[in-house]
Amino acid sequence: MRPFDFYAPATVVEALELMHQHKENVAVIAGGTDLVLELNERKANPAVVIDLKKLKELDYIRVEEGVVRIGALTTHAAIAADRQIEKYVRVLHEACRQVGSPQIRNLGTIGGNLAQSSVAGDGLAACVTLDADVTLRSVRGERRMKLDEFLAGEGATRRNILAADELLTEVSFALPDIRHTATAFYKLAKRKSLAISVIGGGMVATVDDNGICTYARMRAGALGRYPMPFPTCEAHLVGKKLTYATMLETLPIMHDQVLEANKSRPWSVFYKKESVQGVFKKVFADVLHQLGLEEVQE
Amino acid sequence: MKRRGTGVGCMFYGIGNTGLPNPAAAFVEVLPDTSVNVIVGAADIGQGSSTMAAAVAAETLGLAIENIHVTWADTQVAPEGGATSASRQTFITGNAVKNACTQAMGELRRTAAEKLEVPEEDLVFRNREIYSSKDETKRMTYPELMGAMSYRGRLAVGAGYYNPKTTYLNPADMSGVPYEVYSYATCILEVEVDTDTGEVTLLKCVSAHDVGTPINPKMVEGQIEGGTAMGTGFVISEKIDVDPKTLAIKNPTLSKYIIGTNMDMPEIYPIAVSSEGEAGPFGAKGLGEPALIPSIPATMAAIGNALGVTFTKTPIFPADIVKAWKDKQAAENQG
Repeated sequence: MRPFDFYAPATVVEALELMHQHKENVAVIAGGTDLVLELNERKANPAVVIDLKKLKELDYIRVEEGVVRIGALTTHAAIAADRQIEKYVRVLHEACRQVGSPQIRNLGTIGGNLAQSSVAGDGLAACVTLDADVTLRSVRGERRMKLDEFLAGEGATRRNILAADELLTEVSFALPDIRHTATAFYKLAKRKSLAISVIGGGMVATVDDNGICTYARMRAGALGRYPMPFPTCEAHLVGKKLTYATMLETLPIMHDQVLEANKSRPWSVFYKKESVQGVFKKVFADVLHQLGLEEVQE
Repeated sequence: MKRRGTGVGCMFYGIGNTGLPNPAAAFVEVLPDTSVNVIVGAADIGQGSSTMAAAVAAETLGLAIENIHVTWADTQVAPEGGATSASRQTFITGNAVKNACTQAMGELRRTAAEKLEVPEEDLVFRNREIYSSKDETKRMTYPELMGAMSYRGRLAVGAGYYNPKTTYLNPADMSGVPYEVYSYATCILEVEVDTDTGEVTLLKCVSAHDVGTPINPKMVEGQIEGGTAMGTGFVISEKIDVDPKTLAIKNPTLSKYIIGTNMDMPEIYPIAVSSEGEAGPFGAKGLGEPALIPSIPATMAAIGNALGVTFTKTPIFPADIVKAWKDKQAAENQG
């Protein structure tokens, strides 16, 4: 680890000033579950590190006028323990509940997970599935955008459009109406705890009073640079009665799409194209269970 | 689809290599306050060889385990211990400690026999007391004995070693009797396999091990549980990934070399089976490797049983399971 100057501002305004002042070579630290490793391995060599842990104003989960707002410094553990998230936003609850280990969940924050935009970020996959918005602040002002737009980065070197002096302060999304909408997430990993996702599959599905699907959104992390969308699968479901049989019809589409996207990685594509179907079978079963439409026996 | 399967793994395993000499030694001194210094070369890498040495010394001397202080693997003072390998330290260092204690007891026996006026061979050393097996009213406490030792200027010191009876093997075909004793074990393991994702959930494991006389039953249980974690990991998640070009290990960290966590473990029911002693200290046999061995074939067989296929190599990763299941489905559809 190289020496660096360390600041621990007490307010967001102070933090933004510092980031603007040192934007040439600055790193911000929230939980530190990624940055500390990068510092130790000298993958990150900042001249200045700004600690955000004192910014309690960014540690909140609020539901206001049908919108869920989560402050960037909210930990995975806090989200996993939140009763409202557990009841209304299963996709995020399940994703945060299984990040790393208890120690990592106690430190790691949702803002850090989104800003890092890791290939296998579970919080990211869940929030993209929810079609969430993010709020970015800097001394120049505030901008808000869809996560999909936020992730329009340049791949490996620059993973998202966050500017060097910009702070991701909030993620927000519409509170699902659980009478008609269900969300689900399944994490496939190499062991049952302390594991990086092999695939993190998420889904949001809405049905009308007759059980006809009016909205579907499916995303899966760790299948590409960013959580992979399945628009053809979604289109297949919308307008049809939501049943397990109908949902299974999307699996061949998913198979072909994952094969096409990963064929440059022959050592992993076989397993990914097959297991992604297994992941979504579980997601489908969970969605149907939550909506009270069908109980699927595995 | 989730499918369950059960597998059984059996093994026998040699303890105490007789093909080549492999001795270990111990030093012992019983001090006037009845505390005991035991010095062994055996390296305790967490398996509990020092606790074993203390238990063997306490049992042999008739003292309590709290009285024994073990110094281990300090090359400045310790005698030869040989490698902590081949499940040998309980068997070999255990016997060395027993032999060292027996030597230290020479002066203790002589002194007790004089004080109690009974023949040395009638003396019993047990629970911090010394008494005659012929007349139990003739008895003294250990502090009294150590007082008598001090009065006479005698010291209770001993050095001992043990080497399995080296028989050597026939150099022409390596035939012969390669080990002094054998450990036996059977492990039964139940799994649930997800045929879509290849995930394996370890459900229950019963692992029964012939340990001769268990020197420390709790440590026997711990060794069986730890061995099960290693053996199941050997099958479902652990692999040293070597780059075929550079021969460098590609996963030299515990974030990439996947060992099971507590959440990955099955319910483990360890069973220590006692058997006739043979040559070990108080009849104890080694358990270090036997603890892990039978869970490997049991896990392989259980996964195979769940899918109705036979696996012939480890590890069996999720991709292997998905492929085996798809191949089987394809073969059945053709047939």
